[in-house]
Amino acid sequence: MTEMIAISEKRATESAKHKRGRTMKKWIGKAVQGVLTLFLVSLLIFFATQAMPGDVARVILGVNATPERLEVVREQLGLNLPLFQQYTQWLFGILRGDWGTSLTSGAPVADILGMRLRNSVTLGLSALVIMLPIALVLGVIAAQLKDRAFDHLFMGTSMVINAVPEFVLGTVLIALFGTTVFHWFPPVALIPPTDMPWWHIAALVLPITTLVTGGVAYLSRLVRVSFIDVMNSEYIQTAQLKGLSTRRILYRHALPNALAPIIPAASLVAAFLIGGTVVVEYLFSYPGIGSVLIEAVGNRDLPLIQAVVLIIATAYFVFNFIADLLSEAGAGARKG
Amino acid sequence: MERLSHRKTHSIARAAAAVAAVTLAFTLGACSPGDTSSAAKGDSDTLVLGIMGSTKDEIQPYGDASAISNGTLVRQLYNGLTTYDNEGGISYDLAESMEPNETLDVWTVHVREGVTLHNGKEFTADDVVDSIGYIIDPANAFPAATALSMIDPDGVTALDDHTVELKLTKPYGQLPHQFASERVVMRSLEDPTDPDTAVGTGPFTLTSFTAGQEAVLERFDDYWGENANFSKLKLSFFIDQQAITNALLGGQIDIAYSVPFTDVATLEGKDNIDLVVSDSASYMTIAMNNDAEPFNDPKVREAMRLVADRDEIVSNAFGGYATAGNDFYDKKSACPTPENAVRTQDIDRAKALLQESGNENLSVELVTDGAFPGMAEAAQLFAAQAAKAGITVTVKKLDVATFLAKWGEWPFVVAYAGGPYLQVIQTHLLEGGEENTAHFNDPELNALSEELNTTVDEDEQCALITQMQQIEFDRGGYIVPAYSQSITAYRSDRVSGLKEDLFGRTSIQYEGVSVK
Repeated sequence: MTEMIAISEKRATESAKHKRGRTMKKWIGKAVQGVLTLFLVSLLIFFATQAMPGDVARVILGVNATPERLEVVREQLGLNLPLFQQYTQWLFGILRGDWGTSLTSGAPVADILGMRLRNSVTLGLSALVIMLPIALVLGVIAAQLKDRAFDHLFMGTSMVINAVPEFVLGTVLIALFGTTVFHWFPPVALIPPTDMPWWHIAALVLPITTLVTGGVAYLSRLVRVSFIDVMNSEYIQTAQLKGLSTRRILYRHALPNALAPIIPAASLVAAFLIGGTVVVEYLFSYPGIGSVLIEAVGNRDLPLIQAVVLIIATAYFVFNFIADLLSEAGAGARKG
Repeated sequence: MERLSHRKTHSIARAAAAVAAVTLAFTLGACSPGDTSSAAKGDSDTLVLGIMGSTKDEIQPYGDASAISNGTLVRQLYNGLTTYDNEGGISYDLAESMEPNETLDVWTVHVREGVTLHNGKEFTADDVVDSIGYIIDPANAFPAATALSMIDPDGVTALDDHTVELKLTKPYGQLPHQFASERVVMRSLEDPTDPDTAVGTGPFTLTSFTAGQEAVLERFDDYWGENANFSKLKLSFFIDQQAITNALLGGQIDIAYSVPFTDVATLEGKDNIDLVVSDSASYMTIAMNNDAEPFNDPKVREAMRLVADRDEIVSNAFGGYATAGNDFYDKKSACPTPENAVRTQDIDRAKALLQESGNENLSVELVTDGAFPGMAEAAQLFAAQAAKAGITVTVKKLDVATFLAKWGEWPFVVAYAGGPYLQVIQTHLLEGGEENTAHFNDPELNALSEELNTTVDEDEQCALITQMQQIEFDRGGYIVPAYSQSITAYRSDRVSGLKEDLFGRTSIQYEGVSVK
């Protein structure tokens, strides 16, 4: 009997090990896939930029671009090298940790982006940290008060906000709180390059509010729907019949299940907040990677474009990866 | 669900508390002592200028002259041998005089004495020789070299500490004008390992610079000329014109370099904001490529000029801050202009001309990069006006790189002319001029320009310039729909002493300017 138990225990550990090994393989596979995707993205961006009309030499020389000067500048910047060579040079640089130099300003890309990445991450992370609890609370309240006045107001407002582009939302906030009605917050987020963005919290209020408002309007609706679904499910009704306390039902049973479909959406929002704040950064002249991307594309500054796009793509990949992990872990926990 | 209801109030209260906590945390944070974002509000010794910037700006001064943010930086750090005064006349800056020989092909420059460089050394003739050599070196491919194309690279010599001799490749009477170009400035090149170190003679020295974000400058107290009454200057670079207006309204900047014509009405109504409106030598033109179909036909060019309703463009694209343009480069010299009545819209005559030339159903594309306020609007208005004569004008707004990719090849393009007449002739009116987008090449005008190069007498120059403007009016390649003004907005409770300026320098000339 004891032997039997020992054997079955051994088998169980082996099968668990086996399972863990498989899971490991799966995630490693996903990571490799991610790296491959990033490589393809860089290739795509490189050739897409080449296909755009105009080049950086002309942008540098402006209207005084004589053929002789164009030739000199192109030579200086290595634009005369074969495309393949330009790309591999850049790629090997990246692999060595060298992001190259901006073709227009000559400054190292790592220097330009280091500070701007810090600013963008601060903006995105603050927005996320503020947005998630608000979206959760609002969504749950709306679900609980389904079809009541608050719910209707919530649904109406969030629909309107969802329909309004961030650009308009931000402009309204600027006029309301920065320039025209009240003068509570700076309408433009001027962060000196040597300062940390959180030293200028007042300047962050309006950009963050713009991001949070849009994000909350989107996420809280998902929370609401997901919560209503879960509350209507059989096991919640069973729990209610068993006489469990509301708090227990809400937090132990309903919330974890309601979160499952929300987590991927939230991580997509997170990814968006790292790289996709282009509009908000532009609107508030916020020195982040989004605003520098706009300029880099305009200037055809390839190393800068590549670096920013890679950062954004990596953020998307990492957050998706985390979302997969979380939802898998959640599913596992529920199964167990 | 019923069983949950008695807890509802409780959970709502908790949710409200959570939201309140977040809000409170934020509000408290907003009051943190580290907040210096509204420096402009309090500091009585710092002036903050808001201006469109770019990540391609650099400290080295000889780059693309169309970048105004870079031009602003250059102006604070460096001086030229000559400069333009606020009305367009020429005056000496680092030179005390420039004298030509009889044949106008050798010039002697007397360099101002007692000028100190930012590194503490004295500015001498050697620095002039170094700077000129560096600008015109083809290996550097500097746009600024355009202005000095007549200088013989082997003919730049220092005769003594304060005298330089310049040999030219051809007689040229307007050399002092060439040295007044915004980017033809003098610097020390003693440290060849780092040409990006800003060692100039200008009124400010550079403390820090981040392209596309900000530059911080300190007043140079050993400056040889009159200086500002404040000690620190901050240039805040923006990527959006609207944000500059917002920053001014929010008190984050003291001066807006320029404001869009559409914002003027909003700003005029504010108590603590004033405007300086200057006549301007910088305005848009519409260039018709004389070498390309259909504009190689003078009748088509004439018709295009006749469809423009200049008054409508003045009031609608420029908010009234302009005067009707008359198809020649005006406001660029102190000389009297030709006394022609302004061309008025004549649709019938335009139609007839098109018919004569066999271009009844003319359809053309007008490209612009919309880089300056009013440009895109004026182009759209022109298209609507042309439609009345049956001409289809499709306005295409391009990004700068795409626009520049075919610079000089576009058949129909919104161009721009800044600077004085003597420079405009070289760049816009003569064959091979880098901004001669109209491919204008008129033998009579070319001859007048040659004649102009051979005289230093101002009256003679004026007579020639007026004749050239007449040629432009009669058969030039450009439509000049409006002479727009430039508008600088500033906080009147902070700044005083700004002056009107023909070359758009109102917000960047700080001699005698004070901050409260």
